[in-house]
Amino acid sequence: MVPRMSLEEITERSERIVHGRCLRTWMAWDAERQFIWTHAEIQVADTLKGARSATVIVSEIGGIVGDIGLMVEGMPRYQPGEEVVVFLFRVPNGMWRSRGVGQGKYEVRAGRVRADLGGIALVEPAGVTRTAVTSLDGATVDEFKSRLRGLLSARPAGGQR
Amino acid sequence: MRRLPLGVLLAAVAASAFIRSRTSGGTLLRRADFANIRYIINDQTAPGLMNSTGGFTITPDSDPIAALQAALDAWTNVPTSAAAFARPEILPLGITGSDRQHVMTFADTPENRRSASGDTIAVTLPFISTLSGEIVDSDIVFNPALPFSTTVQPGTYDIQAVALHELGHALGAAHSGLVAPTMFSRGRAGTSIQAVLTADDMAFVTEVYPEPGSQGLLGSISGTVTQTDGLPIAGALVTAIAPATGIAIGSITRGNGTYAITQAAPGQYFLYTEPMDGPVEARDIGEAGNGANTAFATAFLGGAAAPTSLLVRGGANTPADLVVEAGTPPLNIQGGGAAPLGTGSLSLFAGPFALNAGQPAVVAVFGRGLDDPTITESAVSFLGAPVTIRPGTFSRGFTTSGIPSLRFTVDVARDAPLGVATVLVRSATAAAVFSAGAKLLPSPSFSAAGVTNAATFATGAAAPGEIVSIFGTNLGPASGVSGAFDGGGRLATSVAGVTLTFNGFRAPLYFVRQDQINAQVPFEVAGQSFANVVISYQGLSSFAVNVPVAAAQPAIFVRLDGTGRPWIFNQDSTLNDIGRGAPRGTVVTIYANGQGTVSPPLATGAPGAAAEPFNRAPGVTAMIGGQSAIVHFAGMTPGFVGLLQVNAEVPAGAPTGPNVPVVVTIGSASSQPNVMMAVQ
Repeated sequence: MVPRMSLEEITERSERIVHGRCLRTWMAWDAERQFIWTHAEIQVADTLKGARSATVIVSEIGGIVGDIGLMVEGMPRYQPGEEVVVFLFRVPNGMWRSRGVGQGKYEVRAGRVRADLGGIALVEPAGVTRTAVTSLDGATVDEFKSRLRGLLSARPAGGQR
Repeated sequence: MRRLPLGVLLAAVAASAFIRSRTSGGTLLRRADFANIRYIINDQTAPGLMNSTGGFTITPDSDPIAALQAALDAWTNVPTSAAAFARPEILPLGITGSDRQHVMTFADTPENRRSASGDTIAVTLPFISTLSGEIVDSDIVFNPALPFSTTVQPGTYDIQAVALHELGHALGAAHSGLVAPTMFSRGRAGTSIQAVLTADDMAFVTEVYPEPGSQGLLGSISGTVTQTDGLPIAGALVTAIAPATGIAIGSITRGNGTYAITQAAPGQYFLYTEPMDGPVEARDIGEAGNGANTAFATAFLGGAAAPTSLLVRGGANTPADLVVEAGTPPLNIQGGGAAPLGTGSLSLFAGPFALNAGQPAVVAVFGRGLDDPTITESAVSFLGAPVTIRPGTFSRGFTTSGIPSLRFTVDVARDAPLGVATVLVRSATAAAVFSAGAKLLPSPSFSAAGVTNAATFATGAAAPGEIVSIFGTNLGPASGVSGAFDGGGRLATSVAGVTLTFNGFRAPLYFVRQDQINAQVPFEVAGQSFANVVISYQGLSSFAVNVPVAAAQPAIFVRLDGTGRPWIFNQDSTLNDIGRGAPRGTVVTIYANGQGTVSPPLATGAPGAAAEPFNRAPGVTAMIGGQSAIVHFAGMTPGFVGLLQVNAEVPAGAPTGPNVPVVVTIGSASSQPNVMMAVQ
């Protein structure tokens, strides 16, 4: 179960926002052998927020190693060749995860974006809900990025983390 | 939607509106330990648990263990399923990978933060054997960064509702295609609407873990959904809803248009199909929604204007095919909301709303095409529960987002079954449903006869500051919860999700349970003739019950040990009893109730002063053995809330013996007759 976030929130609370394409994926136990993670290497075509780099590795909990699977409902997944816009934050162990679980992953098909909620259970938090993450479904990726840049430029100076 | 190998693992079986997951090899996930699933609750799970940033993970007024137990019990108590959770142990254990120990935890640890830090509210971490599909470990982590409660505090997440949903995942369920079930993919903070399993949830656990012998009791409906030209419709939601019981069970058509609604209780059902174009969308249910066709109009068996009902028999299948018109549906209900009549504004969202049996409510639904002028009051109805639209209350409008909406007042039958209802809206050319969007929940219920003086359990007027016991149904949690003092030193007015008001003034609560509440009547009702008494439990309110108010209503506390003897202590501090009488001329302490206002005034919920000036009750007299007794002190017992202490001297001329009558009088009101003390 995941609190619903608005487009403004995931934009504000993400440390990196990148547009790119998935190069490869793999699954592995973490160093403590507590959880299995699925990692995706994203080749960055455009950085809308945060540090620039050629690639970024996005990690989400769950996966299969040998005959053991860790099955977590609603975690976003990636496929090699998939074009995405992802909203990322870094967790204490150094991994980058998508903000708001699937709410922070947009798939791009034929140049148009669509929020990839991926079966997550969304719970409305208290307070005002602003722009729904699904409200830009069907927009071109350029329109989408233009909207994001507008949100980013409207943020108070010094707000970038 | 394309997926990685794990996505294949997460692929789901879309045979029913409840959805099961399976391994990449096609094996359905299930538990081998289903008959005795042992959960461990981390021992930090307690009221007032704080996280590392200084916020509450569990609010101090919560009872998290009871809520978790209630969630476990709910799945265990499905009568047609053999799945059962053992009583959980409370141990200092955390989550440790795939160790086959199932732990529920709220603790703020690095591993919990790491696993839940993908911004989840809670996450179930099921380790499975990819060979057999067996779930071998299923830790549940509640995100320690978020606030949880069992009292439906605004902005908090209801522990029982969240646990119930996550335990469904631990049993092998994915998200439901219907709106009301606990396993639906959307909920809200500050409500507990999903803390109750629906028929669709129960159908899941029955199908996966059937109770031997239950299968002959349940029936099924199956068939196809096709376009008028015969082409099959894939990914259509098919719902059967029973008016007599409020049961709604769903299914999702396969690629060939076939569906099967299983585990249906015998009875009459309406049957309809709708596209997954909101509030349930194909992407809400993950892989099960892949390839869903959303370009067709909602259709009922027999037509939306006069749906035909189907009979389901135990152990038998009822065939039923549905035919739909292809094309973009002109109407779509995307969500709604409800609020008890007269309680203010509605909050709308794309998930279920609650109605309470016997309570009128204002309801709104919103969605595409609802501004069609051919939609009139008579074209809106509820299927599946006795909910009727009050004539003349229908109106149109728009949401703040500019989406057309309909608004009306409904009456809900007092004896309405506690199930779900579907809102049906018809225009001249089309129909739309908010499928199982309304959930009927039990409201607290009591009558004036159930409002009693706590000393005697006798019905009568309530006095300011009096301790009352109120008896009824659905008044609070199944297990009793005692009240506690708040940070201001007053008895709390919210306990385990229960609040009680007299003319709008909140009453301090000593004890709450589903059948009884002990509370103090607020001093603020002084001078009034009547009080409207309202009990709320987890956001659901009772009717207002009118109770007379008196300036004083004295009553002497008697023991509940079967003797009926009063709580009177002799001067030597021994409890007055047969064979332990008070000598004449000594002072006894009588504990009573219902004194009314005191001087100096005392705040509602505050304990009596422990030093001068004590809070004295004016005008108190006492009779012992029919003779007037000198009252040395009458006022609030120091350190206690609402407890009257009368220190009276046994008259020198009082009769002796084990049964000497004692009466306390304030003004014209006297305590109950036949209270006997011993005098020697």
